[in-house]
Amino acid sequence: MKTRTSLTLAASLALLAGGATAETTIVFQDMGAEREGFNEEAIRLFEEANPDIEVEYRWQANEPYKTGIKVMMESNSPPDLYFVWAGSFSNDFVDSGVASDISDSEAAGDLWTQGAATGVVDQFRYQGGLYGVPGQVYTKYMWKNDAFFAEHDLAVPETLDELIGLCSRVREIDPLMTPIAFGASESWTINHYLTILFQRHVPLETALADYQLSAPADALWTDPGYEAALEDYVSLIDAGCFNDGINSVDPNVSRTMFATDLAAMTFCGSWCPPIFNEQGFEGRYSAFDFPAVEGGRGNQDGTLVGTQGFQVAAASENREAAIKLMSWLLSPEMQALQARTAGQLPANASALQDGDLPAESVALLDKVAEAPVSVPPLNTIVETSVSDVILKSGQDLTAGTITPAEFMERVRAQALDAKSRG
Amino acid sequence: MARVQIDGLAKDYGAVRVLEGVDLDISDGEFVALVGPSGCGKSTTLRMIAGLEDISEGTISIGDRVINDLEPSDRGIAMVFQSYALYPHMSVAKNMGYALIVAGRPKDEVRDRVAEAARILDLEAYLDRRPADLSGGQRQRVAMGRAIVRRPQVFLFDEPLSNLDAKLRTQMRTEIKRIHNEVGATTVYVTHDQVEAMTLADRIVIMKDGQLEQVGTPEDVFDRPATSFVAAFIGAPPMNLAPGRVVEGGVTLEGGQCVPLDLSRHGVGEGAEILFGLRPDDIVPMGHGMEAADAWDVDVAISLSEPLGSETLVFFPFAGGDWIGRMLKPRALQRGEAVRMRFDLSRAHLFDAQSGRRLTQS
Amino acid sequence: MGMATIKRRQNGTAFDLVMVAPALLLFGLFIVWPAIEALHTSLYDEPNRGGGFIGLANYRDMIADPVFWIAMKNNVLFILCNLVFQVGIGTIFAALIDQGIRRGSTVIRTIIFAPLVIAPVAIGVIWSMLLEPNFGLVRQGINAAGLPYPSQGLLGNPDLAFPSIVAVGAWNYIGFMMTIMLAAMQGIPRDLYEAARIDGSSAFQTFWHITLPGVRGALILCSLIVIVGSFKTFELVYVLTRGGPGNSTQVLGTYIVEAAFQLFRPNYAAGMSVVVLIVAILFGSLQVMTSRRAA
Repeated sequence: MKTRTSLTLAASLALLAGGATAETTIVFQDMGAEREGFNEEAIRLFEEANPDIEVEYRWQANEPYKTGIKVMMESNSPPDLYFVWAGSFSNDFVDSGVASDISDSEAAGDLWTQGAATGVVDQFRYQGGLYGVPGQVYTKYMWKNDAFFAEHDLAVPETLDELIGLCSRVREIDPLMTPIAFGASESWTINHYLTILFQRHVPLETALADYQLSAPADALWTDPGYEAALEDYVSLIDAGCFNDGINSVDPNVSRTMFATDLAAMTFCGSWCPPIFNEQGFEGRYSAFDFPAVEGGRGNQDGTLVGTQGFQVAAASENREAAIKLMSWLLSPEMQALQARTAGQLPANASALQDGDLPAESVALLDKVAEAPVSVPPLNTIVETSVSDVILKSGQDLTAGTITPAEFMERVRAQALDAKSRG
Repeated sequence: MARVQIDGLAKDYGAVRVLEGVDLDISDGEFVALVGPSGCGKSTTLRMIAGLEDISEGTISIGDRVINDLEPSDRGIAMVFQSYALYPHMSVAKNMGYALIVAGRPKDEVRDRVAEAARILDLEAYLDRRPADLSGGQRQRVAMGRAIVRRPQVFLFDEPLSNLDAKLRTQMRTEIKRIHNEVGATTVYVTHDQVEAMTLADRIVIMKDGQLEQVGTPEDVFDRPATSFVAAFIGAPPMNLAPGRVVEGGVTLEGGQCVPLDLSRHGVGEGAEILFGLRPDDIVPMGHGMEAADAWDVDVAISLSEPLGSETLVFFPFAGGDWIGRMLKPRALQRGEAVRMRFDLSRAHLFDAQSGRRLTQS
Repeated sequence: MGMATIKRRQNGTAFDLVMVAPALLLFGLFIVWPAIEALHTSLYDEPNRGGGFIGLANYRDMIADPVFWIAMKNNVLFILCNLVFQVGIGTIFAALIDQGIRRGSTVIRTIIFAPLVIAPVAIGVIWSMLLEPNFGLVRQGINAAGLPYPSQGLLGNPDLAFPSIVAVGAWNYIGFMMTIMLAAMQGIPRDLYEAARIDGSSAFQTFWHITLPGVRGALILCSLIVIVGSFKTFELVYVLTRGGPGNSTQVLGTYIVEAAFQLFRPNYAAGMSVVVLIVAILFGSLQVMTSRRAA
């Protein structure tokens, strides 16, 4: 009710303000304070180039946005262009028919298509259409403390067994040093481990069919690779790879542990280098690939890559102007500007120059480009109710209250339920 | 039933000594009233007997036992509080029987003893009620019932009637007397109301500033007050007192009035500074039929009169103060009316001006 | 009394209505209407699944939803534990201060009462720091005493997380309960205790027969505060464990938030809110009934 009122009010104010110069006003709804500086500059430049279009820019913080945008899209006056996470989140909007298919823009070769990475764009393909365009990517890698590795002559582990061996080596060297800092008070961090381990153990086709519930019911989530992946995860815990109390350690604490020489390694996202650097850890760490699993039937050198971007509202009365703005924001030049001002990995790095990003972030971009296969985090791609079971059961598995087999029973039960509800 | 002996009792609150040198011997079945102004130590003494206050010095015995270190419940006492202290959430019966219930006595015994107390106090119809549903007088009786049920050796009363209105107070006074006669237990009764003390007690203990002023029968303390304080405290209205000096054949009061006195009765020498006292009962207007053994007539001007029904109090200026006389025929006197007052000097009291101790020998 | 009062009462109906209108309006607008909306919404399917009318299907889902029952069970457990710890210990503390401790009782009272002035969210943050499993003060203390510390920590262990939340909640509210109970106890006349001493009542008998009946009203009040508060508890659980590990500390408050904002099932969440509302109304009317009886 309230949101609807304020939206209507804002829209009518925008109309009043428009009038004389601009013929068209479009509403752009973004997420996150960290992008405000970039957006304002980009929109200023856009309006200079397109004097007949006026942009009404708004943003919300992460948590409120997740619900806010759902309400806005159900309202009478949805924003013309809006932020989404690629995966089940963006597909929900396609399912409820509020997102517009922009295959025509791709076909027309609009500005955003220049230098765009196909694999990243593909994350918005759904049911034969293209429902969105990537703005930023995020990925997740293992990080090591370079000085510690050098001092004790430690090698980067190539396989999971080597990683487990490395854990005991670190404990031998210094019992107070945590091999891998890990905080899962927010359970998506467990989810990221499982994303990669599933990737290593389960063939991609099988996994995608399970994630999207498109596999036949009797085959759904039955691949033995899942349980093997969970057993690998448990063996990391049992080998003492992690700090104590994983389930109640805040992810921020684990980042700080790594950046203050309390942990030899950590598994952390592309958003982490600025956080490490803030702790004065700059230049003293580097990324390495999550180890391969010997005998795994999945992909051994794939990685986790998630994508964020924008969708155009199906109900937009100014679809053309909205696509124009979207295309502008995702043009190679603006993507470079975004990297410089917001520090996020651009989805389109074709115009990126040295110094636009921290060195560690640039290294990640290269790694992403080299990776043959990338999967977004489970919680953005798996059907929402199944994803919730995976999130919750991850903490139970970590606490040792359920076995990998029980974990998979829960997942299968929820998947069948969700599939039957359609 | 038992005798209560108090020897050299003292009480300190921190560095302050509020009670000192209290010696008292109360015989079995005796009714003793402790009176005195607020803060005189009468309640403290009672609470020390009860065991609610620690004893700083001295001993208290009940019967043959020194009870200084016994719990209140082991002293063989029962106490009736000023506020009655009835347990508000219990019925009258449970209030009265509580001591027996917590002592684990059989139900039959509790019921019988409560019933007996209820009979004595005429409370049988109220046994199931809560204290809140009772009148002030009824609550007072329940409080006494609670004491009776315990069959104590000593009853302790702490100003039990002061929360009642005047009429009920008179009624309950009679009731307490009747119950004491019926139960016959040794009783220590604290009050600030000297009428209660005079009417109820076998002996009265008058206290002041933590010390005993006088211990005696009501007649003793009324007729032969040991100090000028007792003289002024006991009696309503109180004894008239005026400072003076002993001269040949009498005393000279402030203002030059010379009172002829037979000094041999008072055991005092010429020149002594004294207080001259005479009760209002012994000062009567001429012609109002007082049989005075040693009459002395003075002409005064009335300043005020208070008709009380059966008698009239007559106020007049005398010896630098306002004195009170008594007229048995009730009649309002005019202010300033000249009256000749007759003083019965055979009833005069002399006190030492310094110590306040009684000089008069009989 | 008499004619004047009766007359005014008859003539004043319109006036009375005008006087209560603002309150009624606000109550209707902010309490009744949202409640009706929640009930209405709960009868429809989720917006991203078409949003059609589905009758009581959300409520049927609830009955079949194991997490809903975990949350419900935890809420009931939470109420029972909080009654025992907050009201129980608060009452015992109050009795100790009321009866025995003279010296420093103001200091003790202040220390016990202090946590109440801190917002539950801040309490949660403070305690999640104290209970941090690797570096937290609690671990350091326990280790310094030479005792082992659970390797999953306290909040990370499904068996210990719930008791830990109860303990933090108790730390938060015992002072409040103690203060209410202490005020009630100090309203009991001293001479009742003296009479009981003379009657030979032991400390426990006195507490049972004199103190407890004397503070019955306050005890009922405290219990209802705890019951209603525990039933709609949210902040402390959310900040300390977010209902985890797994769903082990899930309560209705956290599950409603999760269902609405993470599972994107706002209408299902509305249905659970309706259930909470109904239970709250039951307890609320209980409170009104007992206070009427007391009056």
